[in-house]
Amino acid sequence: MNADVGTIDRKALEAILNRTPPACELAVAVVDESSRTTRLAESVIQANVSVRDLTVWLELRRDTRSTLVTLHSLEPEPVRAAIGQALRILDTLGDGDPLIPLEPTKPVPRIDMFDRKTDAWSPKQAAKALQEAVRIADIGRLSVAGALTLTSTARGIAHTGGMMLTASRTEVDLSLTCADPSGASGWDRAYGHRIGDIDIAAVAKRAASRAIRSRDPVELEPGPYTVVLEPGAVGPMLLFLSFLSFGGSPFNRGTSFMAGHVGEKVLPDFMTIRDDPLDPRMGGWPFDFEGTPCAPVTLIENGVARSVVHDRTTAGQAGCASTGHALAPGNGFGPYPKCMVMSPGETSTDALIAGIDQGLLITRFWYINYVNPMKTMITGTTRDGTFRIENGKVTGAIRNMRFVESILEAFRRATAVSSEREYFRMFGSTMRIPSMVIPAFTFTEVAS
Amino acid sequence: MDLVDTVSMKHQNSLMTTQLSQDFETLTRIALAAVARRGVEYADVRLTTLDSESVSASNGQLDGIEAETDTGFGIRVLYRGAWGFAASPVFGKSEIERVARAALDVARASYRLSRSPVRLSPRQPVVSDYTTPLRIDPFSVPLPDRIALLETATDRAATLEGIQSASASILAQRHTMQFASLDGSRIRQTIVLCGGGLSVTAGQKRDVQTRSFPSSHGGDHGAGGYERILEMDLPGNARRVAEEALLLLSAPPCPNGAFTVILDGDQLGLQIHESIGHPLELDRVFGAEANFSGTSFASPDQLGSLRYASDIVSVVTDPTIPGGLGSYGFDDDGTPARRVELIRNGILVGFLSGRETASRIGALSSANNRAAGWRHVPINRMSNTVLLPGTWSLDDLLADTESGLFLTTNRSWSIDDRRESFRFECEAAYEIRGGKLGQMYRNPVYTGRTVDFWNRCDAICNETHFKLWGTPNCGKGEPSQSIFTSQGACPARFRNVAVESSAGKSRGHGGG
Repeated sequence: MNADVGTIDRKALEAILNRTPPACELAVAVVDESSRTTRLAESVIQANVSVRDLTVWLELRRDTRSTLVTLHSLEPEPVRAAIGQALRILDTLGDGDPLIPLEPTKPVPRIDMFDRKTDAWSPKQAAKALQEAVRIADIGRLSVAGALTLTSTARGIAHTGGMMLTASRTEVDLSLTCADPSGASGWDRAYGHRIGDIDIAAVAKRAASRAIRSRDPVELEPGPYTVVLEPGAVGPMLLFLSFLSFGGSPFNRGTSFMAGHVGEKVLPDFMTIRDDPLDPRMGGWPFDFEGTPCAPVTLIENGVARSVVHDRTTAGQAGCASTGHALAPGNGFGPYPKCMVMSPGETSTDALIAGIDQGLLITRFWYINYVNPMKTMITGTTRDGTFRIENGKVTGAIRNMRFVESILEAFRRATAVSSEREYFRMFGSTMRIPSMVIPAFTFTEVAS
Repeated sequence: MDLVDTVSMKHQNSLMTTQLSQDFETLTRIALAAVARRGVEYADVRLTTLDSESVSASNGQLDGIEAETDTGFGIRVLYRGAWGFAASPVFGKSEIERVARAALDVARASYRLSRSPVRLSPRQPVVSDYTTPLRIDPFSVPLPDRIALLETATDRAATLEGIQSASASILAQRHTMQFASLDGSRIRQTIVLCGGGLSVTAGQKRDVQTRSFPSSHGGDHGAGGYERILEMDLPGNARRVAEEALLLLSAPPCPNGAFTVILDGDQLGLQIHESIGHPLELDRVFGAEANFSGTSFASPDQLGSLRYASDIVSVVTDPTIPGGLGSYGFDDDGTPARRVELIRNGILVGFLSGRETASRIGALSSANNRAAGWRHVPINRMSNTVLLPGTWSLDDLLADTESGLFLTTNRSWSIDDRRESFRFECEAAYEIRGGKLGQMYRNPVYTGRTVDFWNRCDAICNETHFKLWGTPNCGKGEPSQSIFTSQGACPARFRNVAVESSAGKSRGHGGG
């Protein structure tokens, strides 16, 4: 049923390298992906797709010149045409700065991240499993929307400087939103590399429970509130903070809050944030798109700034070694951590809520965008589960609100994180994160 | 190697696309034969090729040239009223048959959770083609010419004292799209997109201001040729844009308060996109995006009754207008492009739809079902969403405005999941006092509620100010699809709008 993407054929990579024009070097990156998405809306399958995708990046280098050509085929003729196109582009370029030398393969860690059962899971099995989500929504007189995506991906990196690496992985991403006709809605999600790790019924029950509790929302005055942010709300904040601060590019530019403060206390004692691409559930790889072996990196340790992540370009600028965080060629964004793990606290989320006299419980943030990137200030709205906390208990739903906050300042004000953590997937990054308590979180208006 | 293998190689190079029609018929014959089974009510095949070249430069030097060719095919099947879709970039008879069987198997799986069968609004089968009108094929312009233009523009901006960086880019894309359906449609479209822009940042490290031209977020793009780049005159505008960035750096923060606001066309374009286009996507209205990009405050029972905007506001969706990122001949249902009213004199009268969603309100498709290439299913998307021009010249509109703010060039945006309330930041604001533009302000923000805001519109500039503003990164769907749209806009005036500085500290005089 599924396209055979078990691994990248090394002979195909060698065949491409054998086409390297005289006096040139060639670097190849290949991603071969088979994904199956079953999408629900109004409690029926609204879209159901099975897609084989193949992307081939060719970086042709000569002296101080390089260019990138992307194609979606490993067939000889398209590859020949693409290399010819790259050669024509090289001929138009003037001399540039010296290129970073290609380096031969280094030993990479082994990660057991390919699950044959997940790879073989059929659309029929997905439909049957999602029937349980529909049944749970029906019990609550709710409709359910969402998507279950199973992906099998093979990655290959090779270059004429002696690099040849391949690896394969599977992943499963589930997201469900239950809603009733009044507009009350609740959301939950799960992520892992094995279908056996995903409890669809549990996700549906949490989404349905939030939807039911979201009925009859009251409108609160905008202003500062103590909030308990669940992982669906902490995750986007952490990810945007990583875009702004945990990568080599903003660190080298001096715009990262980490710049000039490594070794200093920058966040509360209880915050330790690591990037751990070697945990198979985090969606990482044993090597990056430059072939550099991946390894865990401690970003924040007990509140102290420790390190940022690098690819070979930013590492060269900073005078250090790459940490194995090169993104796909041509991304233009620079490295950032894609497998962040925040250490847990010692108190359950329920106990954190019990300790709050007046506050809000936030399930999820939506449509986050920058207000002032230099101050890590962002805006967005709550969504699919926004509740009031009174005297240590969740007492009812409130209407969604817009917030404007500095991520850094909010994290600095945080007083605790929960002992439970969840896997959260967003924009191709995975995070394992607890809930977080933040006093005086600023809401500016009622959103919907 | 069979015929289809040979065909696949040709598809990798659009220089050979004139030969594709017969080959596409071969692909179609294999695919449709594989899905033509009992219970299959409809099927279609799409073969698309994207050729793309982007050139970028900063501070007078080339940053890079990137090229991409992307060819693949998708097969969509409607089995007993349930959809299935499969796609691949790998060709060959066996792969086409595998993909076709996969599409059918997926549709059968969908049928397991079907409650009411999908119905499609009627359309006649079409055999036709469409090609973007253009004057200069952007791929024919020598790369050194494109590089020189960008290096000149960024050098002129970067050499001003106080400028941190100047960057510019040019993008050229050719989409060759072929469509065949079980009911006999055969459509070929060649759509050429071209655009670019310049962005200049003044200041140091964390104290910076940016001005962009002709628009932000990568510039402005549309259907057409390299003439679009020449008309922009990036080198000729570079110094002015850099000077504006420097002015912004020393400008005071935008005052807070309720103001009469004139939105420049580029910002108004994004306002239309976010607060009219998205809420009126009919699949979103029915809940297709409830788990991802959200739902809508609008509903079909409000057709003809919802006062969405003031009575001078009329909005249409119109892919037949040339020059937009949403200009095409047919959507990916094979429905011929047509102009459809969305808002007439302030009243909601239509939605953006495809054949499936249109049938649910007893309407014909508005030809807005679009897929972001071969690997995606078509979903309801904007094409060119156009606020029809009014009667004012911009000079007269400014002269008619005693006190207010002129806001230009989007910097940041956010809108809730039902599209009821929004927050937009712009790169710059200018004071309007006594009917004239005056003081420049930094960090302007305006907020509002969609229906309330559009009912505050009391003047729209005339067609001499009209422009289609391109949005090349509109995201929607699971798996996520990023597609090109345009919004047609002239500057327009809105009364009593909440404005502040994103720093949020300044107190202004208010007005209007």
